[in-house]
Amino acid sequence: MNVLKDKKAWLIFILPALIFYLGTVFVPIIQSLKYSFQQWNGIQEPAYIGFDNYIAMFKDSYFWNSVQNNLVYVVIVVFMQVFIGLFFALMLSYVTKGAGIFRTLYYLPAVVVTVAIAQMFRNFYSLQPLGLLNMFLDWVGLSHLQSAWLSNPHTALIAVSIPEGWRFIGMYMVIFYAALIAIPKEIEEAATIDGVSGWQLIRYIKLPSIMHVLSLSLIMCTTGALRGFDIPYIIGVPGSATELVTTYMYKQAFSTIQYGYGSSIAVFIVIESLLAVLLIRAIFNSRKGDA
Amino acid sequence: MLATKKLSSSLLYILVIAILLIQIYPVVWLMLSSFKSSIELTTQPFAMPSSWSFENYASVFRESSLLLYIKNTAIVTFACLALIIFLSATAGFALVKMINRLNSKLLLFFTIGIMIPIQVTLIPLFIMYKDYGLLNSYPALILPQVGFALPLSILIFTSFYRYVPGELLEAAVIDGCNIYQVFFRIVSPLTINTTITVASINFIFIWNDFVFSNTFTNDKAYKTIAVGLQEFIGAFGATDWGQTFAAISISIIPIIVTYLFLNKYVMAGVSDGAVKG
Amino acid sequence: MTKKLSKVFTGLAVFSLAGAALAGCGSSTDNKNTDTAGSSNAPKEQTVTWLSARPENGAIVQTVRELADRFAADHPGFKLDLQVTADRPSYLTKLRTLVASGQMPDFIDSDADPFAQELVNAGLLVDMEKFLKDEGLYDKFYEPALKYQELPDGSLYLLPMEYHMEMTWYNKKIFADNNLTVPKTLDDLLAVSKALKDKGITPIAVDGVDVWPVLRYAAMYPFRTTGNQFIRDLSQGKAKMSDAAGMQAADFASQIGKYFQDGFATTDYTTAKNLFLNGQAAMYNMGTWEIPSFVEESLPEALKGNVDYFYLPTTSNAVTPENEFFGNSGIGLGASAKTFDGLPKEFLSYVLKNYSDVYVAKQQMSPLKFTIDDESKFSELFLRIKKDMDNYGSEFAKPWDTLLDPNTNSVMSDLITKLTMGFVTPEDFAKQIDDAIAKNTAGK
Repeated sequence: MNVLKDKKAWLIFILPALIFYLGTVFVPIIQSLKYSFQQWNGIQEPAYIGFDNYIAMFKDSYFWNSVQNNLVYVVIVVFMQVFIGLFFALMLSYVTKGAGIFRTLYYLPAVVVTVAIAQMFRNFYSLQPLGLLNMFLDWVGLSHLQSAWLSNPHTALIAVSIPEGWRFIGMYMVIFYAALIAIPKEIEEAATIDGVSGWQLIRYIKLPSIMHVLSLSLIMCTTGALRGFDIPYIIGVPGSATELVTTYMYKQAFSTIQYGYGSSIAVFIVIESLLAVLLIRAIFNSRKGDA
Repeated sequence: MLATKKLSSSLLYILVIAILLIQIYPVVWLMLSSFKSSIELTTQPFAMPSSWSFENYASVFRESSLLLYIKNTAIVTFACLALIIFLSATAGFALVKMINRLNSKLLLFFTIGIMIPIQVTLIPLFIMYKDYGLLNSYPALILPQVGFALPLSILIFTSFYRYVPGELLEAAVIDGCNIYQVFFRIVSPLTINTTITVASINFIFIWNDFVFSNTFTNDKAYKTIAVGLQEFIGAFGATDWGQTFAAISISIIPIIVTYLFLNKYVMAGVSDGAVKG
Repeated sequence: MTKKLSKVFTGLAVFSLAGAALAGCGSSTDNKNTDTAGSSNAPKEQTVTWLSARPENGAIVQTVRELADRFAADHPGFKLDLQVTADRPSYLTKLRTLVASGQMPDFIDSDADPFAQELVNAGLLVDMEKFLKDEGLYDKFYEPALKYQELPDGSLYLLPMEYHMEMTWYNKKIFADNNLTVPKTLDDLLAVSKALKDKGITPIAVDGVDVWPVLRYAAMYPFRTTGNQFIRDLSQGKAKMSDAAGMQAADFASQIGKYFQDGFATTDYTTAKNLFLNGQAAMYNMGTWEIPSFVEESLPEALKGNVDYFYLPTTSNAVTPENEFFGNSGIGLGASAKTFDGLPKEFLSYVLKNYSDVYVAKQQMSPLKFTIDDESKFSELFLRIKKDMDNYGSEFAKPWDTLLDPNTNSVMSDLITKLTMGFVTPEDFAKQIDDAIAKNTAGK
């Protein structure tokens, strides 16, 4: 297949995207990497300080607290977006009438701007004025469980993770749905003729067919959650209870004007994400080996 | 047999509709809230509005140039989507369907792009755009969005191109298609669904972007909706939620209409793909 | 069918090229400004930029815009480019990005915080004390308003554009129904709050999201017993939170925290205010910028005639007089030292000389001395507070967050929230604050 090996055509296909990517993403990243070895407040001349920022980072208990919080956040967000998203997509793949409308409407939370979602959840969790969640607890007779979910340090982290997980379920559903309907009909038909049905059809035919989309979604979702920012930043409790790595990085870079330190946290995030991606890939590749 | 099938099918619909209610709730809440007065909004956030007042809408149009911001956001979003789709579809195709020993390394190189926390790249990006002379223009809004959206979009395209059977390409080549014809005539039509998936995903991020537009532009002529919402913040952080929600409600309408329209189109694409595949 | 779809796709490709072309057009318009600036015939065009953190539709921005129009009438070619970002964190990000890229605008807004100090150290800000004295404007300002803008060493690089006192607004009806009187001392304030809470009424509504309203409560005791001395010393590592004055502050904060609404840490500004306006909380501590919300005609029906205010209660061993309490003159205005001479200087001088005339007419308290000639144009509440203001002492109580270094501040936000919520004891609070200050002042 010489046509597919055509180097000139390959370059024509790749180069525009590559140039764009290098120009707008990669150059600034390299610059950030440089800042991470400097002490810089954004005003005075930056001073090269070697690995001092990284050493400070490893000794910073607020930083480790944010890493810990972030892991909890990743687990909740990934569970909601990937697993519930997959569930929605499978469910809708059985719906014959109006699937399109349902799919569009399921997607709605994703199109609402973050400030609105954040404010809605602030009210939803609130105890005074009484929010929906506490109203509901009262209504089912569990009023002793009522709490200010967002400010209570024991529940705050979970409370900020849920909105972020929930709002993009629809997005993952769309991806899974697209993958499910891309499975060639013959495969499914052949399986049905062989007597495979119901759960087994999903388990042995559908899921394996969308394996690489699943791994893609996991990568997307995990790296996204490792960089989680918006909702925790807006409705999180002031202080450390809901601090994530990115919100901490942002505060270090712009509030406490230690731009160099902020950059070294950014580098940490990239390395952490890279490890996660390699791990997810390894898991999926070994699965492939088993089969 | 028929009875259980009917039962499970109605159970399915009950579940689908129950979830639907949860999923559309934020928009319903948003729209109801946009009719409330400030006090009602914050003290009884989940009650029905006590009266249907259009005051919030009136003041949005009086005090802000929302329509201009919607126009700007639409221009930026569509230009971004067109670029993103074109660039990531072509690159994704070469990375998966063409043969080159650099493919896997390049894919990993692009993947790094989805791990970058954008907040910290703002300063280097700003300096770069300043040097390019791009600040305060549509390109200043479009270029970073496209750059940061490419990695994810390329990944999605590469995942979905794997569904296109290799024999199809080989057959096309044997029929005398050159590589560009293979891409435009054979592969692209089959992945129209993927294209729309990529477009829907990027659409939300670009439409809602605040960080880039706030940093790279300061001219009212280029304000986007997310930045325009700042106009409803008062002294010492006192936000007028009624007006904010009214503005968001207005800005959501074109999105919903577009989606419902696209939705029809996706369905057409799907059945075509099925027939073809 | 396949053909039709491929057409769509090529159409999309063409559209994306059009997008790129459009991108080209956009960048050319960007060059326009510099071109016209260079052209010789027309009056020389100069755009003065002001990156502002003030609300878009607020009185200050409106006043400055009006004055800029008038100024432009005498100065052909002058244009004010006023760029507003009202959300403070977003504003600060933008400002810091611009400064880091060497693109500081002609005018900026900043608190007298460590960032401003760094700007001064780098020689980027204009010495406003000198400017005001040269222009004969220094004595035209109210003293507390200027003092609030001073850096810790007493230098002045930022100008006040607003002037506020802070007070506790209270619901007279709730007080009367429960036979309560206005608290004279901070201990009275605790007693009144307790009495209300025992009756099942929320004593105090507070905006916990922004942290500063909560932090004010911690600052109350030390201001009465030491003036601003304690917080100045604390910020420089010369005093400790575990000292008597500091412990008193921590104890008071942990006590008063019990009387805030439930879950206050995530209540935003608007919601806290509305809790009070809706009669669901008896007291609300906020400044004179909220006068428009508390004048009779804007109060909700149930609260008309029922809202009054009191200033910071005192203590038995107070060193500060009762007519000194919290107040502020908002975020300050700074000017870039690189571009100030010439038109920006002329413009600023013009604005300040005419500021009060325009600003006060918008029912605002100006930081530049003003008198009211026609009382009929102002609300009773405004006139009453204006009298209070004329009788004010010489210095405002300093908000803690303007003095502490940024690292200690972020620790403080975390801990003060936990302390008032009852998740940290005053002793632990003091210890952790002292550790943070020791660590952050050590290097300096």
